[in-house]
Amino acid sequence: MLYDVTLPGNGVDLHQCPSCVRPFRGHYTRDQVDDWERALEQGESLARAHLEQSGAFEVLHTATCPLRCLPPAVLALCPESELRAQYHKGRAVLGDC
Amino acid sequence: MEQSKEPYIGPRAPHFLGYPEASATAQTVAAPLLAGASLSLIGVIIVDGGDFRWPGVTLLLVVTSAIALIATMQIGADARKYLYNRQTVEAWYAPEDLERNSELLERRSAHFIQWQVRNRRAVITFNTGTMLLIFSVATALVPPHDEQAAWRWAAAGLALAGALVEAWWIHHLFHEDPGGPPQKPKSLNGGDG
Ligand SMILES: [Zn+2]
Ligand SMILES: [Zn+2]
Repeated sequence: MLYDVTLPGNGVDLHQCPSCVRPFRGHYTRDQVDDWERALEQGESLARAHLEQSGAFEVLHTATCPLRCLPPAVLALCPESELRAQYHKGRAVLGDC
Repeated sequence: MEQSKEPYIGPRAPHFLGYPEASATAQTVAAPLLAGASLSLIGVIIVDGGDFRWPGVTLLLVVTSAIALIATMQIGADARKYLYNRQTVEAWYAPEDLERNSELLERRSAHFIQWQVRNRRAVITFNTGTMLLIFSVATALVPPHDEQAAWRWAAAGLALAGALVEAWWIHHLFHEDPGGPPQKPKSLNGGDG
């Protein structure tokens, strides 16, 4: 597909975890952040399922990274204060993950 | 509400710290040169269409390429305004101002994300523009008649091969492994010391 081939020269779509600075790849949209919030509202098991399929566990965070239980879309697209809020919301549902 | 300690969240930065400069060079040096080349090719084909096998196809490709490259410059310049580091913030605001307005630093992280989103579009138009330019050159080289035909076919083939290499390169950059967990740096001989 032309779109896939011409996507990003030069390392576009390369992000890093704002806490542990480990890199991860992918193109993310705000819709994915909204999906995550909806999953969180529906309780722990759905939130865990969403985490799994969002690729959160493929990001190579450090073992103690506080943001390791957030989907990559959240890490890539939420500015600092929103990220903090996301961290607390996630903790409230998933505990220490 | 459950009490949890505040997570450490560092400043937003590109993974490859040289990337903003590299991508700005592509958008402000390479894109204008290539757009200029596209526009001159358009001029040649309009004047001497008979010397090309498929002047219509070549024109269509080259016009699309010029549009994509010009879009790159504009989208890239618009994206660039969202990218600045802490030094820039500190040049405009004294420490007291930053202390009073924590929003200024918070805004920087939101702006960095905006830069990533917008710069990505400029990268896509740049890659599209360069690919189309190579394809238009390849079609322009296809010989219109028998004179020197073998040589022109060879040149056209070479341009097509160039297009394939370019496509592979773009694809490779997209899937490039940023490197996993940090490894111990190897000491290079003659390293600084
Ligand atoms: Zn992390
Ligand atoms: Zn907090």
